[in-house]
Formats: sequence, C-alpha cells, structure tokens
Amino acid sequence: MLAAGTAIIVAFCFVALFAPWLAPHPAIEPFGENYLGSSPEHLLGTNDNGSDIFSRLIWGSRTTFTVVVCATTIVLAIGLAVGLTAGLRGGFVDTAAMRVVDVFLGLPILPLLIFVATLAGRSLTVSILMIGLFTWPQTARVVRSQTLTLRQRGFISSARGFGAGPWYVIRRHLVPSLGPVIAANLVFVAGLSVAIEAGLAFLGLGDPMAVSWGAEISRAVGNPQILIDQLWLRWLVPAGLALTLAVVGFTLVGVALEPQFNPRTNRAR
Amino acid sequence: MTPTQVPAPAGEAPDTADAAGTTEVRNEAAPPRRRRPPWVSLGAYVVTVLALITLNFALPRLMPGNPIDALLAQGADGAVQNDQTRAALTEYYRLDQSIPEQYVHYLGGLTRGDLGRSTTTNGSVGEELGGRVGWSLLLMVAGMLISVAIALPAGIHSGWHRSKRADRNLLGLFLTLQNLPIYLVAAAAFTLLVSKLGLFPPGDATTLFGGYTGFAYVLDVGRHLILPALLLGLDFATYEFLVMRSSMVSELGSDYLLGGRAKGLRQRRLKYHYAARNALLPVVTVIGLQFSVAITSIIFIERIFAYPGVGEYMFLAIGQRDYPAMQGAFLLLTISVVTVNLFVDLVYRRLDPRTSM
Amino acid sequence: MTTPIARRTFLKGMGGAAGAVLLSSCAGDTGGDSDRTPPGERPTVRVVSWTLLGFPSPFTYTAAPGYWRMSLLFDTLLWPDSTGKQLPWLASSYTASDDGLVHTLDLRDVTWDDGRTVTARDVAFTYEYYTSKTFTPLLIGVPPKVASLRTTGEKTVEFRLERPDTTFVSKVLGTMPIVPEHVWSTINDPMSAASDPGALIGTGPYKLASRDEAQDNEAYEAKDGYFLGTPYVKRIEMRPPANDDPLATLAAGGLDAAAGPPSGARNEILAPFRDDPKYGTITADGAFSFPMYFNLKRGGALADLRFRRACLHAIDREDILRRLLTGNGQVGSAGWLAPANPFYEPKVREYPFDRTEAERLLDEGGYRRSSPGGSRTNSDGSPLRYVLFISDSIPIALAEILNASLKAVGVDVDLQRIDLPRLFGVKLSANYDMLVTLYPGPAGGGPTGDPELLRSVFHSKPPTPLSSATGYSNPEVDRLIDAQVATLDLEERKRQVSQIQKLVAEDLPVATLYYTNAFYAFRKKVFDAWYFTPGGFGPGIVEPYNKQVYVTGQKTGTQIRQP
Repeated sequence: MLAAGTAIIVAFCFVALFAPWLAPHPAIEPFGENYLGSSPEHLLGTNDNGSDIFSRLIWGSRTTFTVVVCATTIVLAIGLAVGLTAGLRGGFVDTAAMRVVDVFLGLPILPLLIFVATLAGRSLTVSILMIGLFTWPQTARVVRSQTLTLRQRGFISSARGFGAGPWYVIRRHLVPSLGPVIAANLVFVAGLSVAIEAGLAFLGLGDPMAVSWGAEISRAVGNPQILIDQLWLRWLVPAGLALTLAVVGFTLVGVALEPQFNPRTNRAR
Repeated sequence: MTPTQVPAPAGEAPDTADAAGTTEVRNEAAPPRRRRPPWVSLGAYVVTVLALITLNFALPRLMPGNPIDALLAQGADGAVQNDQTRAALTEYYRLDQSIPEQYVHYLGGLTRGDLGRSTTTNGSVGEELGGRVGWSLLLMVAGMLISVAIALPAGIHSGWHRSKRADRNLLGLFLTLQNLPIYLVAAAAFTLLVSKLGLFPPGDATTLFGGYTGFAYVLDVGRHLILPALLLGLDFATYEFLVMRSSMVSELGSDYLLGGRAKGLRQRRLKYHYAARNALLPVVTVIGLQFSVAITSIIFIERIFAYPGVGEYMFLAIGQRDYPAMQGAFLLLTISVVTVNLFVDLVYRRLDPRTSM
Repeated sequence: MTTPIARRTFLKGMGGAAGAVLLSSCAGDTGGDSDRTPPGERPTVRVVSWTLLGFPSPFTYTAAPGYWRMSLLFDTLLWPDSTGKQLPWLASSYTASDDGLVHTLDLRDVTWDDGRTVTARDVAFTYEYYTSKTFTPLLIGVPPKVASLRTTGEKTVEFRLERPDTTFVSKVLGTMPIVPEHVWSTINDPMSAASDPGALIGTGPYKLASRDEAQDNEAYEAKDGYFLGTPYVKRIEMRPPANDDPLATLAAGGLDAAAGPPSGARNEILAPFRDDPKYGTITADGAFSFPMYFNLKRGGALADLRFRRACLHAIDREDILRRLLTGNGQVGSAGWLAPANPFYEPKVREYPFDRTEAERLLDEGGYRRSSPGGSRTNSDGSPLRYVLFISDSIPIALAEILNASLKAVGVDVDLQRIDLPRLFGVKLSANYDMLVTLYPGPAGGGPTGDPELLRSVFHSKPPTPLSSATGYSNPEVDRLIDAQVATLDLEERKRQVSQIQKLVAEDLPVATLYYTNAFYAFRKKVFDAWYFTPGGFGPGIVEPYNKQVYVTGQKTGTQIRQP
C-alpha cells in the first residue's frame, strides 16, 4: 500500500511541477474548435470552448497541488501551535483550546463555506484559507493527545528536571515522537484538501477562472450535451479519475503510516 | 466519503475517537477520564446555542447583496421602482432599523417561535421549514439505518479477523470510500443509475400527482428514497466501520474472551454475543455524533437528488439572499447538531460504565 | 423563458437533454402516460412549476412566471391573443377617445368565486389599492397616475389621463388583475396575505387545486362556471423539471411542454425536437440579449466613447454565435431593439469585428501599450484594467472569450463571475466597472417588447436603475423617449423610436453582444395551440403561457374550442 500510494503522490507532484512542459496546449484556448473528438493533436478532444481537455487536466494538477501544499502548511502551523500549547500547558489553556476545537468540529461545514465564499468572494486564496480553517482542529487534537501521552510518560518532566528549556524539549523529545503521528495525519489532511477544493470548485464556490479538476467536473456536468457522442467519457471521466486517484494516493500513504492500521504493527493486548 | 473531519462530543473526547479516520487503540497511558457534571454540559450547550443564534443573524447580513436588491430585480422594466419604493420595502422588511434593533426583533420572534416571512415567497419560514423537516429526517434516519446495517457487521468481521486478508480488504475498501468525495459518488450514481439506466426516479420524494394512498404511497416514497439513502448510508458507514473495527480490536485481548475460549465456547458465539456487544458502546456514541457531519452530506444529497429537505431550502434561500429563510434553515440545522451532541454527551456517560469513575 | 434568480442552477443540465433521450423510462415519474389526449376529452397539460415565486395571489407573487400563474386565477380588463391585440376580457367592451385621454370600459356579468358580483367599484378599488400600496406588486409596479377614475353605474368605468400614453392599454388595462373590494379592503398588509385562501378569490378561469411548496408542484383546475365558458384545458399541472433541465424532462415524458435555456441552445439539443414529428416547436427570435454595460459614472476610459467602441469591435460576435450556439442567435444591434421587434431600425451604426479598428481607436484615445503585445495604460500611466462582472448563469465559455478578446487589444479585464443577487446589488448601486448579464431580468419583457422599454435603459431618469446604462445622459434621447410614449400615431412613433436607436448606437453607453431565441417544444397530441404573444402579455412577458390559449384552446379570439 505504501508503495502504491507514494508512487501516485510522486507522479502527481511531477505532473504538477512540470506541467508547462508536459501540457501540449495552453489551458485556455478560447477560439479553438469546440467539441472535437479525440485525435493525436487533442488526446481527449476539446471542450465547449475549444480548449484541449488533456492539457487542462495537466494544468489542473497545478491548482490542486498549490492548494494541497498551502492548506497543509496552514493546518500544520495552526494545529501544531494549538495542540502543543494545549498539551504542554494543560489546565485552563488546554480546556479553552479544546472548547474551541469542539466548536469547530461541531459546526456544519458546508453552509458556512457557502456563506464565506459568497461573502469573501471566490478565489483560490479563499478556498485555501477555508480548507485550512476547517481541518486544523483534528491535527490539533492529535498533537495534543500525543503531547499528553508524552507528558504522562515523564520524559518531559525529567528533561525539565535536568534543566532543559522548553525548546530543547520540543526539539529532542516532542518532534521525534510527534513526527510520525503528525505525518500520518497531515497526509490525510492533504487528501482531504484535494477533496474539499474539488468540492468547492464543483459547487461553483472556487475561483471561476482557475483550471481545477473540480471545476472541470462541474463544467462538464453542467453541459447539456454531456451524454452525446461519448463526451462524458473524454471530459468527465478523466477529471473524476484524476481526482479520485490523487485522493486515494494520499489515503494509501496515510493508512500505511498509521500504526494501528498497518496490520503488521497492530498488536493485540 | 466524509468531506470533512469527524465530529466529537462537546467536551473531552473519548479516546476511541480522534482525528479523521484514525482510531487510537486505547492504551494504559491515556490520561484518566473524568465525567463532566451535567450542568457543565448544559451550560456549554446554552452558550453555544446563543453563539449560533447570533452568528446566524450576522452572517447573512455580511454577505454582499441584500434581499431588497434581489426583490427589486424581479420587477418589470416599466415598473416604478424609485427611491420611494425601495424605502417602503426596506421599511417593510425592517432593514432600515439599526442592526441591534433588528437583532432584538429577531430574538423576540424566536421566543415566540416566529421565524419570520420569507422575502421571496412571503410565506412563513416556520411553515415552509416544517413542510421539509419531515423529509430530511426521513432521509437521515434511513441513511443511518443503512449505514449501521453495512458498517457494523463489516466492522465486527474485520476486527475479529484482524490482519488477515478479509480485514485488509475491508479496511482498504472503506478507507478509500471515506476519502472519495460524496458529491462525486452521488453525481456518478445519479448519471449512471438514473439518467442512463433509468433504474430510479429522477428526484423528489414522491411521484408528483401520482395520487397514491396507503401502501402504494409508502412504496412510492420508498422508491424515491432508496438511492439517496443508500448513498448517505455509505457515507456514514465508513467512519462507523472504523470505530467498530477498532473497538473490536480493543476487545480482542480481553480476559473474558480468553476465558471463554478456554471454556470451549464456539467462535461464533464469542464473536457476536460477547465481543461485539461490548464493542458496540463507542460505536453507539459515534452514530449519534455523526449527526453534524451528516448535515453536510445530506445537503449534497438533497441537492443532487432534488430531495425536498431543509438543506435544499437553505441553498435556494442563499441564492435569493432571503435573510429570514437562510436564518431559519441555518438555525434549525446548527441547533439540531448541537442538541444531539449534548444528548449524546449526557447519555453516553451513563451508558458506558468504563468512562465513569 | 425568463429564469428567476438561480433556481437550482447547481443542477444545471446534469444528465443533459441527450441523456434523457437515452432514458429508458422516467421510472414512473410520468404523471399520466398520456401521449395523446383521447378525442372528446379536454387535456391535462403539464408544465414547469415555480412555487419558489410565491403564493399566486396578486400581491405575493414575484417575477414573470409568478405573474402568469396568478393570471390563471385573476382576470384583467383586457387581454391579448396571438395577434397581439388586446381583447375585451373582463370588460365586455372598450372604447378610447380620439385624443387617447379617455378610456371607457363596460364590465361583463361576472361573479367572484364567493358568489358576489363584480362591479365597477371593484375596478376603482383595485386601481386605488395598487397606487396606495406602493411596493406591491413588484412586477406591475405602481400604475401611472391617471387624472381621474370614475365609475358610472354598476358596470362602467372611465379612466381619464392627463397625457396620451401608448402603454396605458397594455400596462394597466391588460396587466392589472382586478381584485374584490370586499376581501382586500380589510387587508392592510397585502404581502402578509400569503397562504390565506381568501386571497385567491378571483374571477379567473382556474382555481388552485393543490400546492406543495417543498416538492415544488401546483395543480390548477378549470372552473366550470367561467364567464367565457368552461376552459378548454381541463387541468394544468406544474412540476419541477428533473435535473433542472426542462427539455430533458419533456423528452422523458415528464412534461408536455418545455422551454430551452435563455442563454441559447445548440442545434444538438434542439434537433431531437425539431426532427421528431410528435413534437411541435415554436421560436421567438431575439427574446433575450446579452448586454455589456459600462459604468460611465466612473469616468476615465469607461466614459470615453472610443474605448467603448473599441471594446465592441474587439469581440467577434459572429464567431461566438457559430461556435457556442451553432448559429441560434443574432448579432446584437447597437440600437438595443432586436430585428424581430416591429420598431427595429436596421440603419444604425454597426460595430463589426475588427481588431485593427479597435486598436486604432485605443491608440487614438491615448491608451498606449506598455510593450508590444502588452496591456495598455491610461494617459496618466495607470493600467487600463477593469473589473468585469459576469452573471454566473452565463456559460464560462463566453467569459473566456470576452477575456481573451479584450486582452488581445490590450484591455486588461479582471473577470469575476458572481451570482445574481450580488450582480443586481452592484448594478443597482452602480458599484461596477463593466458588467455582462442576461436581459431581460426575471421580470419579462425583452428586446422585442414595446419601445417604452428604452426608457429603462437609456433615459437619464429611469424608473429603476436595474437595466439602465449607468451615467448616460443624452437630452435628445430623453426628449424622444418622453415624446414617443405620448405619440398615438404609429408612423410618427416609429420615426421617433428609429431616431432613438440611431442616437444610442452612436453613443454606445451599453453594447448588446448578441440575441438568443426563446425556444419552446411541446407534445402535439396533448396540446398544440401554443404561441408567443407578439409584444408579450401582461407587463410584456415573452412566454407561451398566455392564458388565452389555455382557456380557448386556440390561438385567437375568445371562442372556446370544442374538444
């Protein structure tokens, strides 16, 4: 599983980074012949405005990639900060932080996303911020939980007892121990970002002019001709597959990293 | 298929539920549990509800565009809509009052159970929501039942046969399912099963003007319900499966099982009658907690299948900047979520003797 | 068909019209499987529903579809048929004085649903009620003030105007539904009467048999005692289109008649209906247009005629029509009125696709390119860059083409797709640079309507800023618009309207990109008399849902066809 997942993620990153060289056509060609079928020139034909579908798929990976990287970074930053603080400080700070997390987790996301998108306008930045905003709570929890465990085990207090400063503790003890757990969690978050971004684009809440897989699906599905001439096969299916594949890739890696899911490391008591 | 993360009860989390998709095996190093006294839970609940009510009031007003513009845009070319008209309308809908005044009026209306009048249909929001709540509930309950029917047996089996091929396959399947976006699966299902193959009716809760009564009516509703509920159920099932499995795994090392095996009890009896039953508790919590996540999924499903529920209503309201309708629907949804969470929080403690001290 | 605000646009065409052709069965959702109305029986017709638009009382509906639903329950004094001529409807006779100032009508012998007789007092009350309750109904708005309104006797009403008004007949007599005094005189807040069954007491040919707001369906049944006779169409069922695609639902058997999208449809979508003998089709050319507005109030390039002309020259509209719509539309006239409009003036200034001309105009205006192929700048050095709002009901493809076309001549646009409420908001508050939207709005009317619509677009003091060219003011145009509404002589009025079109084509405060046609398909064997009313019915609604056709079953007159 780990191998398959990693392969997918690497391929995805490769395509995203080298898109300008891989894509045979620019993302938008507003004066091309539309609804063309597959040909050597256009591997998947052209869309309703004459742009090459295959190229748009490649360019779309860039958008997804950007979103994933940025959103995951935000989640890492906030989640780590909140989780560490809550776990280390304990007491009131911990309770307060967890209350906030609970409130976030208890809110129905979609209505809020729609509100915010309509309010703040539709752009990639808004999408990224929203994804980050709604996924950091779980990372914070994981971090906090792990920190608490460590605290329980006495590493921290003994290190402190030896006169270690907080940063030293964080560096030498927390990070190595937190690392794997966070990594696994972040990979899940990455997969989630892909899915949410596509969802927003699909609902029309993403950047309307950005080329994204979700937006492509939305555009294809909204076209009344989608079922004529196998249009769906070359327009809708590839975008859906790309999306699914990316998400599955992240999931596989996340699962492989998660100790309790890995059957080999699972131990019965 | 959950597009978001997993919910948790307000308050400390039981350590079987953590981040999305991850369930920690309970370990001895976990911090001791404390039962939260009920009045704390209630207090938090009240505060949350008030916060939600206020948020609910504020958000629509922050959105660009307002109901008056939307309404005036409906007018004819020659219709006289001058400043006088606009002023009259603004006054009629109380939008000329200051925000605090509007807020007070809004709160007052709430205490009387009056959710206002929709600016688009001029009907009572309360009535309109009332006509839809039933359908949303039906969809939700059906989805829950289906999810339980799928997730529990699969989770039990997977946990019992941990690490073997069956477990790996099921795990892989459900994890993938969990990360597939629900709108994608639903859209695909709709296009394939409804549009192309015509196996299911294209939307709505009943056949319009069908005039069915009695048993035929029930069948008709069922026919329209099955596909959306199935998709919803699949969406819920993924997380329930994981919790069930993890809970089973935790049970596996228990002494009583060892004792039971020593006594010679059949595997099957051990598996279902003892282990599964004990493993059920956390799952029951989770099922209750799914509610808040369920809202998002339900909204997607209602839209794609044109199911006449509260989620669809809210979307239409947003499209019209219909403040009262938006507020009413959003309020209903969020308060239900918080209430269910509270209920689970209060009840769960009673159910699971292991979490009380 | 005019679509109100974003009703289920998220489902837009999912599945598709062609998909419906592939549909093996509508899985039982076809109300009656009737492909043919049995001879001797009056038909039940299934059309698209609009419960979102409010309860069908005269003060609680919204938008054009809301209006025509309400028209099934309430009558007006006059009403047009397929000739466009206003027939005496609730009135038994109508005469106008030669100077157009006095309009006299006699009422028929009609009773309200609750048995009371309709009197002239009801008409007078209705008119006063509308004028005093200023914001209802929004569609009709406040009727123009008349100098006096007299009732002579039980059944005669006389309107006296201050000045002749060519729109009075259609806008008041043909639009204002008459309501019973004994019901509404006790109601001070007409909009709160929503869902009050008493609010539906009218004289109309149908009564509301059922209404389910959540599932979005309504049913109307013909009244046997209707004053013209029992209506031909026995029952009208309104149901939501499956997948938000009326044509697909029609093809699948869920509807008996459906309209194509206002933004135009390609031949691939329309062909199944044109080629199949069991469907009839009707088209109304030029029913919708896509105008590009410039906010002249903001000055700078927007207020510069050369800039606006250059923008229009930069867009290849023929290409758009060919590639996006397979030719189902016409290039927009700078004079605003569509070729199908009887008042259309063909000899107005034209703006063919010409990049060289566009570049020349921009160069002449002093908007220099910062680098060859780069964007232009204003004379003060600031970039020539504007935000272009585009309605999200307009296909992305058009947005992409506009973006690229303008960029090609050095005009940088920041394209933003926004939803309708926000679009109306920015338009009404003049908070935009450039804007492209669908015209007409949800209210009906359109480029083929009565030329009085030019007032809303080009007059410096329009009744509402919704469709008006922001910041445009031409005193000569104002004068002509004020003149044409009072000119009773048709030829003279045509001359005045021609002149208006020529002037606005020169000034180009707003550029009509292109027109699309309203397309309507129906099952011939269920009901086949559908037509588009020339000039529209009521406040100028271009829809085939003229109640005259439901009532009589034929295209002209008030004689009811025998089944």
